[in-house]
Amino acid sequence: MSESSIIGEGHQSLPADSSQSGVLASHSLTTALVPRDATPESLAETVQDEADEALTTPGPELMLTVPEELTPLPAVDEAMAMIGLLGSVIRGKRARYRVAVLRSLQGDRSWRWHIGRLQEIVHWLEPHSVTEIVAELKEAGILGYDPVTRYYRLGAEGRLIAAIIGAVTVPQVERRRLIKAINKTMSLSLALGASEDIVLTQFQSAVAQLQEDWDELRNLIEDMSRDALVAAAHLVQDHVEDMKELLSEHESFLAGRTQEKLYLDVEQEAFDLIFRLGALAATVIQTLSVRADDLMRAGFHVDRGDIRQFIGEVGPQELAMMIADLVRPPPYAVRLSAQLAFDALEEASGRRRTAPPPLPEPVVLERQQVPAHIDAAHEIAVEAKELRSVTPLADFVVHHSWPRSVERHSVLIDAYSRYGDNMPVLAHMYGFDEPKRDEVLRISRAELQPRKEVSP
Amino acid sequence: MKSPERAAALLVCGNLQRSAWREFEQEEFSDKVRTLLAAVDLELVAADGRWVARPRNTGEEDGFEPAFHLHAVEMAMVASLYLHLRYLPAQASAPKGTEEPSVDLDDLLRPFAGTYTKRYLEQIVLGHLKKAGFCDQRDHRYFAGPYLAALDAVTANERAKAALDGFLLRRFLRERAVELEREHHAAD
Repeated sequence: MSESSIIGEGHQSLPADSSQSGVLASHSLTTALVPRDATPESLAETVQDEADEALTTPGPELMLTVPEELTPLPAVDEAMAMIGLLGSVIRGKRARYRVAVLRSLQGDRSWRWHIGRLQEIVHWLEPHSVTEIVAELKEAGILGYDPVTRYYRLGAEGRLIAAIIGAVTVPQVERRRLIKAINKTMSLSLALGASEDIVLTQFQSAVAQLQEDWDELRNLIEDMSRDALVAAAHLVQDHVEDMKELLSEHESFLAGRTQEKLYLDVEQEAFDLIFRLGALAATVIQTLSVRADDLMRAGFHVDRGDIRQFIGEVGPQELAMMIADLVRPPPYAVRLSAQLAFDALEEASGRRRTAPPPLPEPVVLERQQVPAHIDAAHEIAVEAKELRSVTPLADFVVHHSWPRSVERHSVLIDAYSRYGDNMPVLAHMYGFDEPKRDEVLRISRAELQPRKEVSP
Repeated sequence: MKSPERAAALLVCGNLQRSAWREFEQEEFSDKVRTLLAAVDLELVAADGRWVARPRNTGEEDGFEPAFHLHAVEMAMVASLYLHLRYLPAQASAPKGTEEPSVDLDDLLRPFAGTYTKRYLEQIVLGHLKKAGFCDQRDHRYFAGPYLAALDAVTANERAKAALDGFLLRRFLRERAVELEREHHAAD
């Protein structure tokens, strides 16, 4: 079947409701008034206008707060052609058909097709509807067309767009796979030669996810919802492993930027979160697993301080709820004896208010002389100086009792430090004397040797 | 004359010492008292050396005003008394002795100190609970009253254990998280 044989004549536009979803949409496509001689090119123009109209929404002009060169916009502008390719597939009411056709083409072994072959591959769509979709994809630049050979083919951008769309053709992004997915987008970005800033922001996004995991784990600990906490801890462990994998896969990329503080900070944050999250998740799982829970409980001893802290933390409302349905107040009112009550009142009214005792009468104070200062060291120095013969230290120091003897010993040392030149010579000897009197058993052996009088 | 009727009549006005009412040890006597009390929806409970009667239900009826109604703060104080005087002494780790469990006034008031005044808690709340037979005060220490002892110990202990386990786990994990964060800041 040739291309021209499946395209109608005369009409340039499609009905407004020609792309409703589901069965209705399919019906609309098959019954649309498609010109028999319309080319894919002319049809594509019409459909593009329709898609543009659907997405063009008037709104206030957006204002920048900084010069444009300081924003990510220039880099985005450069990439708009590529991003636009993706948009041309997924925007508009026929996006689902375009995506489905691309999936079918991507799975075919051939790399170029005549329109008839395309209609065979996309057998689930009416041939003239296939022609329309092919025209749209050609107009968008996803499909290339050689007018000489009349072959359609997926170009480099087309194949990439088809692959990316195929990758995200999932019902939803599982949170468990998020960091792994970001890791792969980083690899894709690097493979496509994207700027380092893009790769860094993807890395930061993965680190932000770990930070969210940390905050969520903390919140769940406060809620103490065991099942949710264990599930979150397992999720966190997966994320930690995925982040380790990410850091490993992009080690060379990050290692090449160790001089840049921003990269270092993000990498450091990632390592820190890996450590913290890994440790906390492991603790949560270990603590909340049934056996460990029992072991821990057996190990924990509740004391009065724990109970005080528990009561203070849960508050009166929750505490009241704990036993509200168990408490049964008595069926009676406590009897109050009127006689006892009045007796107590009488006794209380007769009480005298306690008051402090009166202050003493003022007295005139007498000024007293300051006692004379006694210089014990001087006195003992005089006493020693009066010695006329060699006297053992024990005989001189030991007097009356142990405290008194120790005092004399200390004062004598003080006296020698101050008046030693005028005192008897203190001759130290080896060993000890043992007076064994006045509570003194033993004392260092020494002698006080009077100095010889020097004639004037 | 200690008859079942007399015992039932007294139990709706107060409580009876078990040692003074050995008649309850006879199954026929106690069954009769139970039957009499059940006729007015009361049940006979042995609590800490005493016999007490307590309502089976505390349902609200139009035009009914209970002699005792415990509001949330009083109920919370009953729970606090239970934890200190019943749950804690029953723990395996608690020292076993013949001394009657008691709690210091300060231990009861301190956890509520930020929310309620000492005067309100001591004189109004604990005063009301003393009158209702939930606790007894000697000097500055509080002891379990017969109506605290009459609480369903199995259910109350299960709930207390679950609540305290949750609290201890939360505190343990929270402290671990804080410890990890502190290590992070120290490393910075």
